[in-house]
Amino acid sequence: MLKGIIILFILVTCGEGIAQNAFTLSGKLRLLNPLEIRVESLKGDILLSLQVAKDGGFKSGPKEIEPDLYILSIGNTKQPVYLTNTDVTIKGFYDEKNPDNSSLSFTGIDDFLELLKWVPERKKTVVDEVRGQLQGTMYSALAYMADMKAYEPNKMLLDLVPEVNRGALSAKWLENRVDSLRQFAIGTEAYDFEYVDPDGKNVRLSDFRGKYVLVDFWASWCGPCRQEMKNLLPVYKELKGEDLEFISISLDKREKDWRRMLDVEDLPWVMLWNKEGFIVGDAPNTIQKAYGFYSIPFIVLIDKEGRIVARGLRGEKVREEILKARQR
Amino acid sequence: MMRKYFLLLVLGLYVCTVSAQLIKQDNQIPKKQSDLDWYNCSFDQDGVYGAEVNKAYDLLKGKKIKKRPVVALIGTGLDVEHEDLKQSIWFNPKEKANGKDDDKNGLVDDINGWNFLGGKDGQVMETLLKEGDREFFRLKDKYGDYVFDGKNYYRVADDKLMPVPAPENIDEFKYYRNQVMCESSVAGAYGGIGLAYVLRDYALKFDKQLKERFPDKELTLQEFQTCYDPKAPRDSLGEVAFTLMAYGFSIMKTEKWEDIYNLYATGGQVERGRAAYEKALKAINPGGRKDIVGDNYMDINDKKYGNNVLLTSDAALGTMQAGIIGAKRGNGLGGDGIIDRVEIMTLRVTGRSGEPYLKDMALAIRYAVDHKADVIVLPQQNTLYPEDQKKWITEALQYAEGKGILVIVPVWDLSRDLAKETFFPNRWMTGGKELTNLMVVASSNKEGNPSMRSNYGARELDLFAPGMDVFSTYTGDTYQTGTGVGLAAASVAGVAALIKAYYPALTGTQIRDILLESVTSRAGVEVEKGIEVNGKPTQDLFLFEDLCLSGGILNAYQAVMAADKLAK
Repeated sequence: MLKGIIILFILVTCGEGIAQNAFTLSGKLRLLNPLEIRVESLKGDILLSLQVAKDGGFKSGPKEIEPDLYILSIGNTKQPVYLTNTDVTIKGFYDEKNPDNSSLSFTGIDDFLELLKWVPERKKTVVDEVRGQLQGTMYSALAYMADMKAYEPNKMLLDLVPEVNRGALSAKWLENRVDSLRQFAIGTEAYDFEYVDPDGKNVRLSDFRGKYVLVDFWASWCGPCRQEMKNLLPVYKELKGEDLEFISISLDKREKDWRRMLDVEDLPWVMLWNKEGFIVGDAPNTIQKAYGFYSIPFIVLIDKEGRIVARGLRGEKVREEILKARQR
Repeated sequence: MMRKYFLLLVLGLYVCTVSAQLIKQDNQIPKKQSDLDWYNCSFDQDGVYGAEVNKAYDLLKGKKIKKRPVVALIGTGLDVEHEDLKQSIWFNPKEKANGKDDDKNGLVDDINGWNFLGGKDGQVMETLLKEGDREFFRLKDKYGDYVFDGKNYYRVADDKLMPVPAPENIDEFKYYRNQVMCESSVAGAYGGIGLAYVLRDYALKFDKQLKERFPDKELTLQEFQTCYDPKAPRDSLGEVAFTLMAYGFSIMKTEKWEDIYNLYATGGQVERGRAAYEKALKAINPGGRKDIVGDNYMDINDKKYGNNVLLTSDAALGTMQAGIIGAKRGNGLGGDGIIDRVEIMTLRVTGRSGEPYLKDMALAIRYAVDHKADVIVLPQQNTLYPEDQKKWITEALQYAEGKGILVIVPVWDLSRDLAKETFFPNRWMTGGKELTNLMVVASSNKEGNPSMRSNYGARELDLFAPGMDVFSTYTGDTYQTGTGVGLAAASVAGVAALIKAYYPALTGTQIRDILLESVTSRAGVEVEKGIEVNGKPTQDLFLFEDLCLSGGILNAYQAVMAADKLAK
């Protein structure tokens, strides 16, 4: 019934990693069944594979590696880890069937621990202060670990990876990532959508050239979206003018849901409906792809020429960005 | 699944990194003992409500240990090879690892203890059923199909509910109905099938009545109301059926009798009941005792089973308990155990889930007694002890009592008042003379407060002991911080073993008395405590002495003083 104990199951000790020319992996695990320990590159190439018998001891030969992020598999548990040419040891208990019972203690992964300090908490962004604090591919490895959806922080980290390290897999991964996110970068032209308004008339983004446009994506079933729209109202009242337009685009699947909520919320700006609806998961709809967002509410500010000024705005940020844009 | 583990690991690493970073920065000031193995600490010296073990050692300076006490941990497996526990592991003096039963106790190669949930081929049973589910499977064929309305008995046969005579063993039937069905979700789901038949038959009956009474009318809730029989006895099947169907109108949001009729009279409800039962069956893992262990768990004389595999998937708890009791003191590894000259015997009776078999527990207690244990630690108490099997435990505890052995059992963290709800084992379970060697303990934290969700009882619970945020040995030469009643039991076992080591003549009964009277008194202190009111968790303020018999927290220092006095 009750488990009896509540604990944190992975333990990391900071051993002194002795700098040398090759990477080795060794240790002793207490195991219930024999298993395999494997180190793979991000591409899936196997660097080393060790069969660990029930007595638990294992030791690899020395191998010169490119300092980079690798995938360490212990049994069927996978863990990305930044490895350099040091001796890495693992000891502890590993239960393949119930990995959450396991307790592992590492030494020789100091660089990884260092870069983990910069991994932001969920959905946040790596901070600028990281500049100069890491080295080489640690920046691209950090981008991989942080898994950020915005262009700018990924680009910043890529720029921090020195030219000589650009061949490393994590750097290549980051280059690709930055390339695919570039279309969402600040200053690029925003996708010119066309949706219906409550009168059934088609409205395009480009109809508003010459004005700043705040585009807000929402849906009737999304409570936070509707809260966000309510928060927009005072901003709208304060800042409204000839040079500014607000557009709220509903991603409701059913028109009647959208219309019902229009009556309830009764907001004074342009209301449009994208009948594709919001799509959760890996297959975002056209507008989600074009603007690069996976959750709503999502708010973008677009300038008078139709270029993105700011993305992912919430709360007070909306007001700030509009004021900033006007001053430019 | 894979992805989940992946994320968990990353998260784990991340959290640990934060503390790793702290250690780096604070290199000169390592973490204090009062943050780690704080049960050794005392309030006057370290500011935490530990068990004052360090102070006890100051008192014992110059005194010699008279015997190496043996503590039997009855519960999970244990990592007997742990670097910080090596010196504290019990070795069966008469057994050799040679595939033979050298000491003729019926068990082969029981070197460091025994795994009662093992098979001859080295297999290990990992998941157990709850006692209630086990009892359901044992009694289902006898009583599962009875429908009882408080007066008459019915049974389903050939898809029909028929009146039948009362079951022969009416006490056992009552036990099944009042206890097993409450403890077992599978039994509850199975009972639902019987109820579905009742509803089907009454739907047909009501329908006939209604059509006779209102031949030309569309039948609605209004007409249905006339089916209510004010003369029917309370809780009779008719009344239950009427109430449930009346409720059905509002659930289905309908006024039409036809909808209710279709719901119940067609037998669809029976099908749904069966499906719910199948689903409940799938949700439990029977564990495979027959295939893996192969004994008859209802036969206490069927004793030759199990194996000697002690490193099991659940070994973390046992390893943490062992660390509190007997990790090497002063070697800089992990925390300091309470007495590292102890010998810890491991007797595995619990798995990763479910509740231990009483047969295993009874035999484990007897094994511990027969192999000269001084202190026995049991897994946490339980509500359901089937009568025949309860006897095995009672007799085993009395056997231990007769040999002067202390038995420690932790309560559950369920916020229950033990005066209102009986948990086993307890001192009164003999039905006759109270057990004097059984200690019931709960866990407290550094601030001297009881665990919020701990069960409690002014007479039923003996004392609180350090068991929260305790740093101890963990499987695979690692160390972790954990919380749990089992850890509190380990603190008490450690202190009891310490007393026994220096005052070997004291019996379990005497040691219990000493521990009770020597607590760090918290009498008069008002503490917040989780309770249950009508099954809902809430909180209340309690005086500490209303939560447990001693009104305080385990104290080794005062216990040694008291033992010294008594031994003179």
